[in-house]
Amino acid sequence: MLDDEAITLVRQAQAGAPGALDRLCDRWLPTVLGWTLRLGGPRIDAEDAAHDVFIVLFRRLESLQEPRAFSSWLFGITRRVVAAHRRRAWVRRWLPGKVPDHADPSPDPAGRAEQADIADQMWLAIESLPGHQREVLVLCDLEERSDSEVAKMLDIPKNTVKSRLRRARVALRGQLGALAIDLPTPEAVAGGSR
Amino acid sequence: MKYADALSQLRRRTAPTPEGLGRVREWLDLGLVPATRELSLLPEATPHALGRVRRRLAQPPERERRTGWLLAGASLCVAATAAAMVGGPLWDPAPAQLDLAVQALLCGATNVASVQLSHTVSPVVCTWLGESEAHHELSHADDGNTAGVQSFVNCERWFAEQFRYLVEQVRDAVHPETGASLLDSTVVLWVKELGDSRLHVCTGVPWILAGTGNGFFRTGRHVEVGTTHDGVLTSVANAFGLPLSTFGAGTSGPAEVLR
Repeated sequence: MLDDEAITLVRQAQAGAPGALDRLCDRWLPTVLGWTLRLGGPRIDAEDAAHDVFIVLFRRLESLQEPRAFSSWLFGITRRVVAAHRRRAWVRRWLPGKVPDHADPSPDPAGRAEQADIADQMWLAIESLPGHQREVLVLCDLEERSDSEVAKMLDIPKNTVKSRLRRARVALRGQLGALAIDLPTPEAVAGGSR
Repeated sequence: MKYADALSQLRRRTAPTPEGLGRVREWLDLGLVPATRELSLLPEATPHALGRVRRRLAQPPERERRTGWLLAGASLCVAATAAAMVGGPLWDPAPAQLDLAVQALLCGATNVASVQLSHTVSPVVCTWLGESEAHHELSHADDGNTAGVQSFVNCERWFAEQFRYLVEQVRDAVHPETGASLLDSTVVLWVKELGDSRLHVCTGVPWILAGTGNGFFRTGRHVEVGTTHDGVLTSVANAFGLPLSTFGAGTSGPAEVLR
């Protein structure tokens, strides 16, 4: 799953080589922040969660037995941290639940706003999926990872990845009924994953 | 719209921005890596907690900084347990805990902080002072045991020095908006649980209160409060605008002699 260079970097960081931990942060921060954004949904502070993931990483890196499994290990940490942030967000659910507005400097704000609206509604719909479906949908459909890679990351059989993805897409279809999004039918989805 | 197009939009919508990545990287760069090792000794002042405080410090103030008070207990349990677990000395984490409390007050992360340095029947052995008996055993040294009494005094002096350090940190902390010392608007209270530890006497318990709490208390005096300890706590609450007439299960009312 990881190339030799990435594995070497993990080993160097474990051994406390100067600068290795910094390089490890640089290498993985975009991935982790992407995960916290997509798995956590719009109601959590994804940057805060990504920061928390790295704090756990710093504390536990030495205990990682197999550097080859680093990405799967890191995803496991992210999943737990995101779950904790989601629980806190759930407690705060009495606060206004709208997706926060973001300044948009693009030249065509009207068209971009419409697109952003669809993206935000998709984001909320994915957020409402059960955790194991959300993970697979994010990793397979949003991040375009292969079934095999996701199976290794989640430590589940490849067929389970496929069945979860199928159920996630069906559920998403139900959530997005009001939007004119042409989701693949369940039948097409059945064999549609890689 | 096709599913693939919608996914593509969501992918862009949830892509980490350079600004977001920069923020997280900056938080991580604010000393968290070395702090992880340094503060892993502490069960409460975790790197995580310290990171949050440092991050708040790095951000512009978002709300009015109010004032707070610190309750410093005379026991060492929590830190001692942590130190015992790692076989490390106690004196390392104590100032770190106190620093963390002061920074948390200063940046508005909290208005109240308490630091408990041990507990009843304290098992702490102040080895860094050259002592070999536990604090609790020493607290029962009778007058005939002059060496034991001296050892107890040595230990108590160390606790007093920690309190002095705390007060100095609060005094030297400058309120970012008023430019005044944080001590002007803070009360730092050092509490003990016994008057005469040898007989477990709960009267004449010595407490030290530093900081006037915006002029609420008259300091620089030795006074006999004349009430049970909850009266002092009621007064501290009153100093910060809480209109309590009693505190906890106490019935003594505020300790007016402190004003």
